[in-house]
Amino acid sequence: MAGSRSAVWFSALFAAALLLLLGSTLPPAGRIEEQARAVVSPLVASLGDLARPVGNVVLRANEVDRLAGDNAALRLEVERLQSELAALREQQTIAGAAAELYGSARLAPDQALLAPVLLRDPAPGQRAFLIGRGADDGVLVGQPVLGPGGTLVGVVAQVEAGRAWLRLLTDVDAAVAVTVQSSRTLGALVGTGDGLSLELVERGKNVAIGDILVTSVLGDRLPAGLVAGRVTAVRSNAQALHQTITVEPLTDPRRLEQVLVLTSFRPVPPVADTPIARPAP
Amino acid sequence: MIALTIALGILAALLQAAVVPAFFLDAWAAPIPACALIAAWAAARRPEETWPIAAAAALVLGVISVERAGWFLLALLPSVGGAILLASVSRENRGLSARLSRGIAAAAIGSLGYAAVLGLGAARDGAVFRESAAVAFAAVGTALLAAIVVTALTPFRRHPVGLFR
Repeated sequence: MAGSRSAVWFSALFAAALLLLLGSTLPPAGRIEEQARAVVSPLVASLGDLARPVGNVVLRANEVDRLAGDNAALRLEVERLQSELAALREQQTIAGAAAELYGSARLAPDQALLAPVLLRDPAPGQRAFLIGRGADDGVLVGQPVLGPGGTLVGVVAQVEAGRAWLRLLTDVDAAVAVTVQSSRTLGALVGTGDGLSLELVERGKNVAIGDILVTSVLGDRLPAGLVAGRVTAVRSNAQALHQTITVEPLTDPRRLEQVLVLTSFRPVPPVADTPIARPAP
Repeated sequence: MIALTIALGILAALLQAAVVPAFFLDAWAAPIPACALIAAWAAARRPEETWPIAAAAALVLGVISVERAGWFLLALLPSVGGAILLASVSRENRGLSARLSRGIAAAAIGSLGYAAVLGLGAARDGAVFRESAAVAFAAVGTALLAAIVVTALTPFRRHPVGLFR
C-alpha cells in the first residue's frame, strides 16, 4: 500500500519535472523566471558575501605561512614604490617650480642658474642663505639672486667651489641703489634686519605708498630694472633732510626653496683705492 | 509540516547556490545540500514528506541558474527514489543507526544521480565522466552532510505507532 502510494507521488514528481521542462519553453516562463530571479538573486549574493570570507579562511588555511610571506614582501614592495612615488613627486614639484621661476623672471636657462636653497644661516641677525651652486657653476660674488617673479632677493656675497652664500636684501649690511619706478627718484635701499628702508630720498621728492622700486644702474653694482620692493609707508619730518620710507620685499625669503642666480651679469670688480693719474704737466 | 519542508528546501537551495561555492572551488566536488536534506528527512521521517523539499529547491535553483527548474527537479528525483527504496528495504528498523545508514546511502545515491542527470541530461559534453573523482568526493560530502542533518532531525523523527511499540 505504502509502496504504491510512493510510486504514485514519485511519478507525479517526475511528471511535474517534465511539465516544468516543457513549460520552460513557453514565453511567459522566461518572464516569470526573470521576476523570480530579481527577488532571489540579491539574497543569494548577500549570503555569498557572508560566506566568502569564511570560505577563504577554510580554503587557504594551509597557505597561511606562504601568504604571510607574500604579504610581507608585498608590503616592502609597496613601501619602496611609495618612496619612489614621493621622490618623483618631489622632482616634479622642483621641476615645476624651476619652470615657474624661469618663466616669471623671463629668463632663459643660459642667462640664469637655478640653485636650491640649502640652508638659512642660523646665526641670529644674519640674513644669509647657502645655495647649492658655486664657483664651479660660474657663480661670482656680486651677482644678483632672483626669486619668484624675477624679484631681487639678494646678492651673492661669498663663493665656494660648489656652494655660495647669498646675502638677502634685508640684511643690515646690504645696500642697493634703486629708483622709484613711477617718479624715477633715486635712493639707497638698505636692509634693516626685518625689512627694508629707502634712504637718501630728500624731503619733497614724490614717493607714495605702493610705489615699486627697481634697481638702478647707479654704482654699476647691479643690472638696472630688477624689482626690489614696494613702498609701504612714507614719513616726512620737518627737521630732517630725508624722508623715512619703509619698503617691503616682494618675496618672502622664508619660503624660498629655489632661486635664480643671474649668471649672465658680470659684476664690476671693486675699484682699487689708487690715486687718479694726473696728466703730465 | 509542508510549509516547514518548503522553507527547508528553499534554504537548502540557497545554501547550495551561495554558501557551498565559497568552500569548494570545484563545483563538481561540492556536496549538494538539497540531496542531503531530502535523504535525511526521508530517513528521519517518511520519504513521502520530501516532495515539497524537492520542488522548492528545484524551483529556486532553476531561478538562479542557467539550467531549467525541471532539470533540477529531475536531478533531485534520485535522492527521493533512493530514499523510497531504502525505506522499503528496512522499514521496521527505526533506530538512529538505521536512520543514519538510510540517510547516508540515499544521499550518496542522490548525489551521484544529481551529477548524472545534470551532467548527462543537460548535455554537458560528458564532463561528468571526466570529473568522476570529484563527483565521488561530492557524494561522500553529501553523505556526511546527510548524517549531520539526520542527527539534527532526531527531535522531529517519526515515532512508532501502536500499543506496544
